[in-house]
Amino acid sequence: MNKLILAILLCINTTAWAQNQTGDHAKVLTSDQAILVEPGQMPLPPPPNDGRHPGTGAPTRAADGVSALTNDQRSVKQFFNKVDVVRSVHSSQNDLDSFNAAVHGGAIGKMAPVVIKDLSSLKLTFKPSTPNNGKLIGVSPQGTVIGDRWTGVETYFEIQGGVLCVSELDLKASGGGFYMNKSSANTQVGGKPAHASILKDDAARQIEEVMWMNDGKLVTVTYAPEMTMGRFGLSKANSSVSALSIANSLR
Amino acid sequence: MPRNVITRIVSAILLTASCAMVAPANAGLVWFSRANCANNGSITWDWPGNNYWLWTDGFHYKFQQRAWEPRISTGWERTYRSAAMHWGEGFNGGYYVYGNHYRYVPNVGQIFLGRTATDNCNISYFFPYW
Repeated sequence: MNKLILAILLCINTTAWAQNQTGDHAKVLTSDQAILVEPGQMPLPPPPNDGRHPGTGAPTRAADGVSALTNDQRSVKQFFNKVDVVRSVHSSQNDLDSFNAAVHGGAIGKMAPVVIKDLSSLKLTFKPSTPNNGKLIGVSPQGTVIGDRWTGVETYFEIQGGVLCVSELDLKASGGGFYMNKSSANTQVGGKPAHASILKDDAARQIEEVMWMNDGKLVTVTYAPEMTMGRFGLSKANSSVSALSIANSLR
Repeated sequence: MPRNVITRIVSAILLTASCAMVAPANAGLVWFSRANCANNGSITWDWPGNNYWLWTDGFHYKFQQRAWEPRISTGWERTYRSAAMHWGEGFNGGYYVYGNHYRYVPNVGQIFLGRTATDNCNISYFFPYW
């Protein structure tokens, strides 16, 4: 009986009836690309100080003429910390199998995932993207699980001149969507509106990010270029590679 | 003792113990709902140190009373875990739970990560450093 009621609830979950009963006004979305809106049209009000860290001002225009440039210590540190973990911790196939079993109602008490060595071990709701070149150094599942498939993945690569993370989330599969500030859409990837940014810290490290939505997937390319000291100060070791060029060449 | 009761007790013990058991590892941001475990809740989580602006709303339906509980809303939190929970509510079962999961990206926009729904405690997945 409960199963029947559950089935009925699942069917009506997204209807106006359910939304009125619960006070839930979120809409399950099926958009293939970012929904461009003014800040006041976002589904939720913004966090305090627009979510900026204390001491972090509004972005300026980067030297590439496109990207938004921000001094953001925490985000840069967070990315390099993750890269360090990906390089140093690799879970076994058993760890992954146990985790998948736990997610599907199997053994109890398995710890959270996991960095695994290759994409073939993960069941996903989509075919993941890869760059034209680069050495895969780690893979992490992300998102939620639908059936027996993860809705997202982070893949890390060493590429000539830096380290790269390609994050993909199948928002269409999970009923979500990406509301992008109209004013932050400063470039395009494959004809889709995108946001490009460069984040720096006080240690002269920088990461470049491009975020866009394509075919129902939220894609974020994060590239940390190696920096070298030249005649005019610090610059990228390989100036021909950028997050934007990688984003445009993903397969 | 019924198996599901044992499961809940073991879950509660492991959840507490997990804080001390974990080795460094990595995952991306994950989100789930769980019903009729010891607790009912919707959770958005990553490993400590990976902080985001997160917001989770939870909605709980009690079959016996044919009624929705009041919405649980976390509001925006800069955190590695966001949980819309009713602690202890699920011990006796009988709930359907769904959650809406959001992330805010400063200067860029809002991501509605999606909706998760369940009537069971099948996700025996524990969140270290919870």
